[in-house]
Amino acid sequence: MAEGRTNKTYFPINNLADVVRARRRGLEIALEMGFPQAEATKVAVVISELGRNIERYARSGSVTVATNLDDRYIMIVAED
Amino acid sequence: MTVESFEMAESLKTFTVVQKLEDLLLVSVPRDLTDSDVLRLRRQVLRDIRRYDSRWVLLDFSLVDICDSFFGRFIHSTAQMAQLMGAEVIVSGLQDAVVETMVELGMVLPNIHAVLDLDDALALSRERKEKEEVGELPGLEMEGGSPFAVDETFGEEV
Repeated sequence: MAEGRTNKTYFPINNLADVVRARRRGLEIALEMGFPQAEATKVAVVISELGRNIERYARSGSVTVATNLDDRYIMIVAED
Repeated sequence: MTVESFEMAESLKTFTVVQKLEDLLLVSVPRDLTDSDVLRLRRQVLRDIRRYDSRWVLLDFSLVDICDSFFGRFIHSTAQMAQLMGAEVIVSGLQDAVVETMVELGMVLPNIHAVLDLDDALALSRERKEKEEVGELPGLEMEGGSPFAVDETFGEEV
């Protein structure tokens, strides 16, 4: 895993609008990496489901989207 | 901001995406709706069905590119509620990536017409109206199974 080419985008989750923002940006990130639309949509759906759970049950937390251009993966970390 | 005040502020907005077109209530569902937006939109659709006595509701999803479980339940519940009010439901413009997610989430839409675009939806409602007028069809009636035939995995309330 090449650390140098890992990018992390941090999304604070405090309300429902934050969830929308995070999943929209997650979709864009996946498309920018070259994921097909259907796969990029799934990335957005995962962020949306996790983000909603944070908002609903923990009130606040964050979703971090980490991408690696060498290994071509997306890692989604949800924390509260 | 608390959840309550957030929802209060949100509820002041009215969606301008619901409009009457012939016998259709046309709903252009916007993208990037929050969960509370989604619930408000559903209420507005039901209110406008009554206001315009709409016999057809067209839910157009051409702008929507993300469909998660909550949004999927929104489509399902709105359609079911509209049917209980006596309207027939047409969905249009569902994108390939969206239908893939919907089907993988286990979603089924019984008794719902799906068409490609607005033109096809208008053609469908006009054709049905003509047939009713010449007596070929006994008015609105559900075809197929019960409108409550829902996939069990999809039963969570919106």
